[in-house]
Order: sequence, then C-alpha cells, then structure tokens
Amino acid sequence: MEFLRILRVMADATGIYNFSAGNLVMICFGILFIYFGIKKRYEPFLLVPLGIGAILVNIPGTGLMDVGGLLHFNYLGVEKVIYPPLIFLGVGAMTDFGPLIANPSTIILGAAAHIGIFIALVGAKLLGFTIKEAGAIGIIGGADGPMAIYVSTKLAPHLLGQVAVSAYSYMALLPLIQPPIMRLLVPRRERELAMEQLRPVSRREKIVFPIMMIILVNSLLPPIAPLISCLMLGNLIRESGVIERIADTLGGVFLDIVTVFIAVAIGSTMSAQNFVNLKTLEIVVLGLIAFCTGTAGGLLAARIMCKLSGGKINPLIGSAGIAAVPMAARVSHTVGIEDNPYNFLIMYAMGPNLAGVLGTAVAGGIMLTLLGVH
Amino acid sequence: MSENNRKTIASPVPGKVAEVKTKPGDQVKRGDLLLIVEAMKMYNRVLTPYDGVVREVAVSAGQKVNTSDPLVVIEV
Repeated sequence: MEFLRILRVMADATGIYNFSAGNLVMICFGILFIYFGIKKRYEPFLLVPLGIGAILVNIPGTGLMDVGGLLHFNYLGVEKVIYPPLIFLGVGAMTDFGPLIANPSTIILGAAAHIGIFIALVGAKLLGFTIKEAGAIGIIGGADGPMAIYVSTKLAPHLLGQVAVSAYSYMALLPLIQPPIMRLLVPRRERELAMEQLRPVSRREKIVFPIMMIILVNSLLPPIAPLISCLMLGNLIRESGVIERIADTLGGVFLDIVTVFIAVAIGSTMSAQNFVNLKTLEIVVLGLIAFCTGTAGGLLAARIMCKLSGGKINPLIGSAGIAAVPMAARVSHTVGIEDNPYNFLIMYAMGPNLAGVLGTAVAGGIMLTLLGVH
Repeated sequence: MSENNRKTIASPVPGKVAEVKTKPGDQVKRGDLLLIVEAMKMYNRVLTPYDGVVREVAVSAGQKVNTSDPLVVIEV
C-alpha cells in the first residue's frame, strides 16, 4: 500500500497529471507557430522562439515562469521595458533611412496605414474595455512589437501578454494577411508599375536625420524618448561610418539575440490561465482588424498618390506603411514581383515602412501624453 | 561589335551579392536568372530582360553593391 501511495505522489508531481485542456490548446498554438516558422518560413526568428515560449509555459510543474524561474527572469526584460529599447537600438543600426529622406511624401502612407490603430481603439471601447486598455489594444495596429510592448506596459500592463502576442504573431504572419488585401484593392495594371529611381541621399543628410529626430520627436513627445533615442542612436552609429564594427554587431548578432529573448518572453505569457478567455479572443480579433484596416488604409492612400503623380507611385508600397520593418516592405516587394519580375519595390517600400515606425511611435506618444502616462 | 549591342544589367537594390548564377560566354534568354542580391534579409533574383550572350560579370559572391552598380554585361 505504501508503494502505491508513493507511486500516486510521484504521479501527482508529473506535468502529465496536471495538464489541463487549456494547456493542450496553448501547446497546439505553440506548435502551430513553430510550424509556420519552419515549414512556411514566416519570420522563423520570431515564430520559433515564440512557439517554444508558449509550449514551455504550458507544461505544468516546471516552475519556469514562477518568481526565480528562468522564463520569469527573461520576462523581466519585457516587464521592466528593457528589451524594447534594445531592439530599437539594433533596428536603428540595421536601417537605412535613405528611402524616407529621399521621398518624404511617403510619410503620408505611414500615417494612412495607422487608421487601423484608431479603428481597433474605437472597437475596443465599444466592447467595454477602458480607454487605457483600448489604447493598448489599438497600438497592435501599429505593427511594431517593441512599441506595442512599451505602450501596453504603460497603459494596461495586465493585457501585455495578449497585446504583444497579437502584435508579434500578426507581424510574422504578414505574408499571409496582406497579399489578399493587396490583390483585392490594387488592380493588376497598377501593381505592375515600375517606379523611378530614388535620388541619392548624402552622408551629411543621413547623419543630420537621427540627431534632428532625437531633438524633435523627444521634445514633442517625451514619453517615447527611450525608444526614439535608442532607434536614432543606433542609426547614428551606422551612418557615422566610423564605428562600422559596432554598427554591424548591433544590427546583426545583438539584434538577433535580443529578438530571441523577447520572442521567448512574449511566448511565455501564453499560459492557459492568462489566455483561454473571451477577452483574449476579443483582443486577437481587434488586432487582426487593426492590421487589415491599416493595410487597406495605406493601399488606398497610395492609390490616390498614384493617380495624383500620374502613375509614378506603385500603390503596393502603401501597405508597408503599417511599420513591421522590414517585413511589410518585403511583402510589398514579393507581391509586386509576382506581376512584374523586373520590379524591385523593396527600397521604395522602405520609405513608408520607416514612416510607419515613426508613425507608430508618434501615435503611441500621443496616447501616452493624452492619457497623462509617463 | 557595337557598344549599342552591349547591355548592362545594374543592381536594382543596395545589398550583397549572395550568388552568381552565370559566367562569361553563357547564352541567356529573357527571364533567365543571372544572380541573387541579398537586401533587407531578402534574396532578390536578378533576371535578364534580354536574350544574348554574357560578356562580363562585374561582381563576385559576397561583394557589396549599391543601386545602379553594374552587375553583368550582355551582348544582345
């Protein structure tokens, strides 16, 4: 009898005995993320660690997400808003703002594609979320993971997991979400349009730009200073041209490492007890609406610019205005090349794409300022 | 051979040459793959818009290129 009791105690302590249906559902989502990452190659550097985080946190009894657990330590990088500025530092070092400087009119596309933020915000308010929660949900439409984390940490920390998972998942799934909307809203003859080559941007312009942005954006919207400052510091290191080794490291290895940490941390918020509820479903649906309407907003604005410019702008670059650098620009390029294999839209799409990053930062800054959060 | 018969294929994007898929003397047809340029973590396939013979390959794998840098010269 004693032996059976010991066996029973051992069985009670195993993960298998403590599994709930919710755990299994979330583990399936984790496996789905990994499948999309590896098999479909949809942003594997995001989806694979995200999926692993989701699986780990749903195996009962590991204590990985308890205080002192490995995943909990990692999650502090998100909760204490350490990872988002570090990601922006790497993104800045990787990014050539030349296309935006060469064609500043594409800022309009970055603004238009942010209509999704406000549609999701209004939708969330109508569903009964508080204004701060609605703001955090709306920012999913900015398609900017670090900014979504930053804003939701400030406005509605209890929704951080759902908001971050939605933002990162939809960013990774852009190649699935955007193309049908692009083909629906842009006729083939406009998708085939080749664009004129961008003017060359001088080194001086590229050095002045980050310094100017640090002073201008931080003066206008102080609450987003940590993100904008890091983004522009990384970019200044790149454009200075005198510390190439550091720029290469920040935009390469460093960014890859922090991306793995942040993606695992986001995945580790996907525990069954946090996620299996109606609120999560509402946030996920609102996030998808934000992405779709933002994409549509950018495309329609680009079609107007195409008409006004006499066909000099390929409207496919409009969808890149929702941010998600450089994934959204890559989708514009990929859809464009299907109809015209000689059409390289990637650098043209980087203009609205970068405008989208600044647009999300500005939208987040406005929300934080209006709601009195610092 | 006139210079007009020589067409230069330039890099459409700034990036790094990931792979060269042709060599001088190759007979190519419109739409054939010449090389792959990596830009923004994306492999961009550079195709020939002309039928002809490859006369010169101006780059090698691993080399950084800017937009408009000559990649391949084709005699049409």
